[in-house]
Amino acid sequence: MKIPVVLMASLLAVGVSAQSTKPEAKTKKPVKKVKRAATPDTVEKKKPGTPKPIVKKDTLVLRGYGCPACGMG
Amino acid sequence: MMAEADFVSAVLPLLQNNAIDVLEWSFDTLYHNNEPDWLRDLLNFYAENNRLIGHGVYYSLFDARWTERQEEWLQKLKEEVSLRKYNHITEHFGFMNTENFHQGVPLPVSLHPKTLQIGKDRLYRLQQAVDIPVGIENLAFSFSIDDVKEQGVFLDKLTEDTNGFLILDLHNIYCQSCNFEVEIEEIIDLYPLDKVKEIHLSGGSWQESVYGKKQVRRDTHDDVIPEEIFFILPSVLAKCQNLEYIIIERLGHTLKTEEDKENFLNDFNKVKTIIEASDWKEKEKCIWDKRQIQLLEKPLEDLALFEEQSRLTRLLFDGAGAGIIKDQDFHYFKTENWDPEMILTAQNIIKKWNPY
Repeated sequence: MKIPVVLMASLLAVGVSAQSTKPEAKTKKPVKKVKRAATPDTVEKKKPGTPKPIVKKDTLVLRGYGCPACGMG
Repeated sequence: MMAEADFVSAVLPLLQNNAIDVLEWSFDTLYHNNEPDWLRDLLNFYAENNRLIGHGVYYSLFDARWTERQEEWLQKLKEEVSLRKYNHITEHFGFMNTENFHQGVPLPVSLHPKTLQIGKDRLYRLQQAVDIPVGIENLAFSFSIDDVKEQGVFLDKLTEDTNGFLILDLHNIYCQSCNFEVEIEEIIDLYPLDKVKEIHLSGGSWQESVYGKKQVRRDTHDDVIPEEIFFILPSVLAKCQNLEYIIIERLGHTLKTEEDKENFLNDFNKVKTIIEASDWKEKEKCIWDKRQIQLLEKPLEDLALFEEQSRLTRLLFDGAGAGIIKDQDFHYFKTENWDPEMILTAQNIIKKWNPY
């Protein structure tokens, strides 16, 4: 069962978006990442210029991260 | 399948090599309208090739009260299966009876004629809503060794009228084995293994013990599959004659580093190798035909059980001491036999998934 080329291309784009949304300098502190996402400056600076890439559309944030269903999550 | 980009990034090599034979999708975590295009197309592609299975999270099989929430859940399920072809769907053992069910967590129930009756009623309604087989998954969390030992029997009784099948989650059993110091095979053998149509594999984490006895194993789906599970997997495959699907579960946001991804792919390949070395795929499988059931027009409810479920959830959420919970005059929960360590674990889980 081969995944169609067009679908594969869109999956590749999502995969790449995951990597490109990682902090550039991979420093140890996860705190830094949280801060970066919350910093309003970066968001504001980008707005007047070029429109944002559609990357964010694919980066869904599920509430509480994932599935509690097994009862031990 | 998880909707996070990190997850897609991790499984890309597998998708590119067409190595994933089947996808399982938790349809009620993100209904159709909220799916990004790539996810919708991927799920549709697997569905069109008869390789998609559904896994519900929020129906709450043992909720003693029937509300609009369950009606709505069933309605959405009907819509979902009419839009996309699922080979079967499954739900979890346990109850979640708070208002904010999307943030709840299923808690276990003990085998009692009343809880069994409620569970059967909910399962009938679930099966009546769809024309595909319906199965139930064993729960990882248990308050006592008694619940661990009777869950297999409970699931057997629960599914007997609907011709339902089981998901055997081996990491859930691994958690019970670690937390109650029982051999994993001993627990597995208490399940009706001829009813196992699907197996779940995953990793988890250790929680420090407050009572200083031992660490508590939790099914957090955020790490590699333990070696103990790989060790027993071949014998489990041999025992489950009607097994059709093996699913590896992993939370989407826990595959961030290259090492995480590599470890995940290693797990996938190890499982694949074990499957290839076994002959379970060749065996003839059971047909899980839908059985006609005479449903009561009005869903079964039990307000006393509901009161106890609500009180228990509230006590756990409020962090009431283990002693207070053990001393409650519950009729349906045998709290006097509960392990204080597991009461505390339940409190941690319930706070994490705040149901209020």
